[in-house]
Amino acid sequence: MRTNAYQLAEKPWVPPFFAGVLGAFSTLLAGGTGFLPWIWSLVPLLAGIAAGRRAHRKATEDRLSLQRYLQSQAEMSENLVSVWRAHITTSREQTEDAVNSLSERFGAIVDQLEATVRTASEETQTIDNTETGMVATFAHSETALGSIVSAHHSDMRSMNAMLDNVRSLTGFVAELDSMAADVAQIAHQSNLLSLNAAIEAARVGDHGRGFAVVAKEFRTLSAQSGKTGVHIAEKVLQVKSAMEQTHFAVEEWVGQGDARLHETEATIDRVLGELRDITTALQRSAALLHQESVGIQSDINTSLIQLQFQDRVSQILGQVCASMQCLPAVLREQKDAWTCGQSLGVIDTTGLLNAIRRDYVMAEQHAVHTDTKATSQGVGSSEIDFF
Amino acid sequence: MAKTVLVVDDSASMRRVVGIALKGAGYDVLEGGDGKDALSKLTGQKVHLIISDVNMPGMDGFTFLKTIKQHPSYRFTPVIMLTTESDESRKREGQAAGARAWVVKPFQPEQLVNAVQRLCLP
Repeated sequence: MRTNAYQLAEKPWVPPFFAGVLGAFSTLLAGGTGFLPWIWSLVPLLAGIAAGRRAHRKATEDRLSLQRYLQSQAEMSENLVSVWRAHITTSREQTEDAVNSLSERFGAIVDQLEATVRTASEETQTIDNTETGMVATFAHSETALGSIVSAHHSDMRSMNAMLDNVRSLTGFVAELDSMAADVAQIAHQSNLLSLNAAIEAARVGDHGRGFAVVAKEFRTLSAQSGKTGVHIAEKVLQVKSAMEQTHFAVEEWVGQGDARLHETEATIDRVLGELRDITTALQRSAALLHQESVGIQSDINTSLIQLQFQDRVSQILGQVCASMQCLPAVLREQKDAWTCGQSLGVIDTTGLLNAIRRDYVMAEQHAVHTDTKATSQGVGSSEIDFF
Repeated sequence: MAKTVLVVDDSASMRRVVGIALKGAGYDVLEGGDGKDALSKLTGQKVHLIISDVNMPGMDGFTFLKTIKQHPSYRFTPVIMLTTESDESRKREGQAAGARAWVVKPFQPEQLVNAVQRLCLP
């Protein structure tokens, strides 16, 4: 009964109706029981009834309006959240697809780069190997060619020595020529002497016969000496001619050899210089390639870190999508409660926020929730705990 | 012969990023999209180390880890948890489940490679 009375008192038409009844009662009490007071008492009564009806109508309209509002609010949240979640999901999927393709392509580029750098490193080892590399080969070649040039110089020294000997032999030939002339002179003098001896032997007569024989033999001997001298002179002339030819040939040979040696030396120097330039350029390129590969590896590592942020973003968006679902449910529940006659309650925002927070896994999510800055620790610093 | 590492993560791009880092260090890489997929890939396959995410659909990382620790062929295979979570209670949970290391994303490639080299089976 009490509950029914309280419920009755809460109805909007009740206060004005009872005010009207009270007014009618008051009028009757004040005016007495005559006809006019009864008529006058109808005025507040009818006014109270009219006010009650107006209040009831307004309350009904207000209630319907609020119900419609709550219904529209619930529908709006459901529709909007549905569209927002669809957009977020589409964006996540497109981003994931794009980053997947990007990382696949990036992986292929890294593979190609590593193969190229590996090949270049092998070539670098080919250049720098102290036993079989290009630099070592160049050094061996330089040594070997230097030995050849040294040998040629040694040959030239021998040839020059031989030329000196030939020159000195030419001098000897001149002496032989002189000696041949002396022999011829001696033979001529001997012949004259033998003639004189024969003349003296003839002048002496019989006593000079023995002397004449000696003179005759001496004359024969001097004649032979003369012939021998002529032969010697002829041979010396031949030897002289041969020596002169040899001297000329050796002189020419030494001269040409000297010129060829200088030419060979210059050519070897030029070729070695070009090889040295090429080797130096290759070494510089190899060093630059190594330096660039170190830089590229650093860039690759940085890119690999950046590619991981898509996963974090995707997780955050996934949790946002999931938490957005609670809003339509809360508003629908509120609308249903009101429709069933319950009063409108306060939305538990703190409870909703705590429920969202329970799903957080990253430091920056907690930081955003509490409107504080996330520390750099944990974002890109790669914590590793070993157990 | 190159050692094999199984990488388990529901994100294809993350599996690829880990793969690039490990292949660059000379490892062969197997991939699994979640715990169940990873278990199917392990059948008869020699694996020297496992890297697993924690939050995955289907079978999550901790369940996968506990399953591995009961598998006769893989119970001694070291497992590194690779996750965005940095909460200490979760790390203790991973340690209790049998993980050998906990790496928070995003990871530095050279640090992950060092961890793999340190923990990999011979």
